[in-house]
Amino acid sequence: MTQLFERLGGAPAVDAAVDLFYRRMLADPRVAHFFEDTDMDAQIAKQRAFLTMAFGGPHSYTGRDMRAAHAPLVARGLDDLHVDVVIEQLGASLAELGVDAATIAEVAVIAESVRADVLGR
Amino acid sequence: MASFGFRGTRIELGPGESALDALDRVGIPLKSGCRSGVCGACIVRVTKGTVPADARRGIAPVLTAQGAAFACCLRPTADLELDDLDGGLEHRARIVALETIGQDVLRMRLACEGNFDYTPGQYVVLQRDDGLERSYSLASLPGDATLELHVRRTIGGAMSSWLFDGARPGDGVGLRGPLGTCCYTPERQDGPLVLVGAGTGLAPLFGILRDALNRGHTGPIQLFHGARDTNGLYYRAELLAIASAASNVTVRGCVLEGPTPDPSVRVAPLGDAVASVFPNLAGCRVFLCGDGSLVRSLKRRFFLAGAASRDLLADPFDAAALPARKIAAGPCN
Repeated sequence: MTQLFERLGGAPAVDAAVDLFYRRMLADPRVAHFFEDTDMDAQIAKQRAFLTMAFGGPHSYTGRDMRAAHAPLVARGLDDLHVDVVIEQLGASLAELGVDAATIAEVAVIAESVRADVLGR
Repeated sequence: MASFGFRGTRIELGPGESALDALDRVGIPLKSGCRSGVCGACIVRVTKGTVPADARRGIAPVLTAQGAAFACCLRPTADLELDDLDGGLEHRARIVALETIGQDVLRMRLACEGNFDYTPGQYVVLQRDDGLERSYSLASLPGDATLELHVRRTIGGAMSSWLFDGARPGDGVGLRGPLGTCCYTPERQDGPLVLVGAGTGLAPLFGILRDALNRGHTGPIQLFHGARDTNGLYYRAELLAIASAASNVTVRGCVLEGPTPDPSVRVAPLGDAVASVFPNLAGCRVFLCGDGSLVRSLKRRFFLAGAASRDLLADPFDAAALPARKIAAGPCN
């Protein structure tokens, strides 16, 4: 477990954040359309895995996984704006949970690190 | 080093290897995803042996009671037997009774050969002897003499046509199960429960409601049964009997098309009826059963209305397909 993940509170922190984050995504008109036909359980599981990674926790994502998973979305217009929204909403969710700005910035750096793979660059 | 049996093969675990690592190494395909005990893709059932705690953290209690574990986190220190999550759950049963209980709704009672243990709200896959299969949720309680299923007559439906018009008491069927996690768990017993069922979605709720009461749930329980019109509100007398015997239970009917001779039945879509009583569902545990696309859309609506994802248990009925099952509850919900 990395220091960041530990500082954030580990798996319980992911539990606390995932609903807040996913509700924000569903309610945000800039990205909500990407979630229209998705199964909520499957999405929550994916968001949980994503948050675990962004919090510095254990994961097995490869660049290829991120590329392949997001390619259909890229074909539907996924671009930098949407990645910006994810990072913004992730930060807002953590702020709502009382996490300090410096720690939020560390999480943002990790989330930012997958931008190129997500967008297939 | 420990070993495990899976799909007829015995596999020795190498140092530090998880069961999933070992299966990959010997070339036995098992679905996987995050490989970190989160996504649930690699969940297997331990049929012999003890499951280490870190291999089942976050899996629904209903499934861990059946031995479910994440293969990616399973590093046992003693030998185990594993099976696929829904493997080895085949049973034979006999139709005991077939009775019409509402407009186009049949109650089927089955006697299972041998022991059949389940949690109310789970479902079974009914198998006709020619291989036709459909899933039905259990409406009964484990102590009952028979299993109870509610069947809607669907136009052109192969299984429902047989059950309504061809099947007879005494006929044998196959059953696979029990499957599913849309069940009551005895925690937060003074909290609010919201049970929402469309049509024969009432079946699992009928079991869950009585199970919650039997297990000592003291918090308010509100059950909403929705149908197209009042003819579809079957089991009304049974529900009202439960409500009059338990002071914490309220049952409400709602229909899409009036008129309703009963003033306690609203004319409103199911989602709106729930929202008018619960504009905010934070803190509520919600059980949502019935037509698949309605259940999925109400699940999203109730989540946006504040219900926690882990507190939204759904049993979506999908035509001529096995319903997608929710693997994990709790942290992995």
